[in-house]
Amino acid sequence: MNPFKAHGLDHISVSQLNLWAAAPGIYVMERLLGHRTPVGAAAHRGTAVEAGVIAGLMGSSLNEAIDTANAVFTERTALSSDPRRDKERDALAGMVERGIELLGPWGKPDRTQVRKEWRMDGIAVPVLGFTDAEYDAHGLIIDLKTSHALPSTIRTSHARQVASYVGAGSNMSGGVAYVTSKKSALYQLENASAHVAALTRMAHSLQNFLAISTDPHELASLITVDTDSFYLADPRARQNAFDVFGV
Amino acid sequence: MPAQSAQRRKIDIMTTGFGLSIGSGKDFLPSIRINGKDGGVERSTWDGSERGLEVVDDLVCLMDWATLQVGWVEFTDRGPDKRLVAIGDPLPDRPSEKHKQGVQVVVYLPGGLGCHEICSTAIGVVGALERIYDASIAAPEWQQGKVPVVRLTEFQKEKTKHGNRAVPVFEILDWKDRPAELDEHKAAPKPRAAIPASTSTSRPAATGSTQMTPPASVTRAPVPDFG
Repeated sequence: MNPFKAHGLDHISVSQLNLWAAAPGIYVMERLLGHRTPVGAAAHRGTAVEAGVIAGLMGSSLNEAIDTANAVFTERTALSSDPRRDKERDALAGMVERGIELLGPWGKPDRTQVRKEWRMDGIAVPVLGFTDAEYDAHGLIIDLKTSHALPSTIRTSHARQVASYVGAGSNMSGGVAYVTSKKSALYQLENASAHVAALTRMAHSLQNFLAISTDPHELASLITVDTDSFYLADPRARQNAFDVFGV
Repeated sequence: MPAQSAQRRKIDIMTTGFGLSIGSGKDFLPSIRINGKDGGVERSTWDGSERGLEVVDDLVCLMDWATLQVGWVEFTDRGPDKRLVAIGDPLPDRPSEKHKQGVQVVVYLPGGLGCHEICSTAIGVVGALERIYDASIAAPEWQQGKVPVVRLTEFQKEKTKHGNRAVPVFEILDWKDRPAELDEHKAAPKPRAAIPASTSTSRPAATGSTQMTPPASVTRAPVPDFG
């Protein structure tokens, strides 16, 4: 049995690999031991804005697009106790408007939420992901990201994500659209193959790690966590970390 | 019956490659075949020029778990196709539906017969090897670097929905120092940090900071007035 399947993993995603790279202990706690903490309002903000922007690009009016974003956010955060919920909700309308302003001139996407599955050399399970928007006429795959501060360059984790779509057997180029409630920018992805190569090496390190033992508790005993990490900001996540790692 | 006096009988001259890794010279090892269906043990007598099999009535050997490999094996009439790795290394992808999970271990036969390999995908044989493996590596002698002297004492016949099965029963008789010949066949996992080396430049790749501008609106060329 391959190391991933030994741990019940039938695929990997770029976000999982990014988590493995950023915080191996959190990866083990959440993905192998199943101690997942509900994501915070910021993550739901991203999902909601994406839904609103896509609705706007597909023909909805701005107000309808904002309503879509608000509805998704309300649904996703109905039981959330995240204190940042109201702040995130207040940012939705501006982010949706900036997103439509930014991407509207590119026209209506030919496809949205496209499932991508591909394999890395030497990795026993496939990589799965979903693109936000694809434009055939422009040969462009776009991933939409929301933030409260506009980055001046594509973040590495985002570059890897888009590179995995672009490198998955297409001849498309990639871009990352960042929106805040006041600003926006669409950056062109560079060095896609290098980012795919980096992802592959990250996947090998994860595969090698998983091969050490089929017991996730034994794997957890090999590493620890940074308790000041934002991954542990939620008190439930912090408690899980204490239960698993004793710190 | 001790192995040194085991009765051996040449029964056939094989014309196909029953021996493993034939032709590779240095990697060549004769094999021992444990029949997981009907019971019985045979040893290839391949000496580099002539292939044959002989029955081994009493299998006693040094079974060296440091040589253990696991993975995928397909037995074909042209010989086995093995995709094996050391314990601890990630299993390779299954090459085909015909490949089954299997194990291989190098054993050392007495009487000057030397190293042979046992490779099997039979569930009963693999299970029996796993049991004697577990018992071996749990023993203090294994921790001291010694190798178990193992005897195949009997076959236990079973009926399954897939037919008959003969499950070998192994027993540890003694422990011996590892012969130098076995050292050559140790199967060490790759270093944990082994990952594909970077083939790119010596610095991290840039992600991109060039802003993209939307294409200009498509405007039709003016149509000449044909009157």
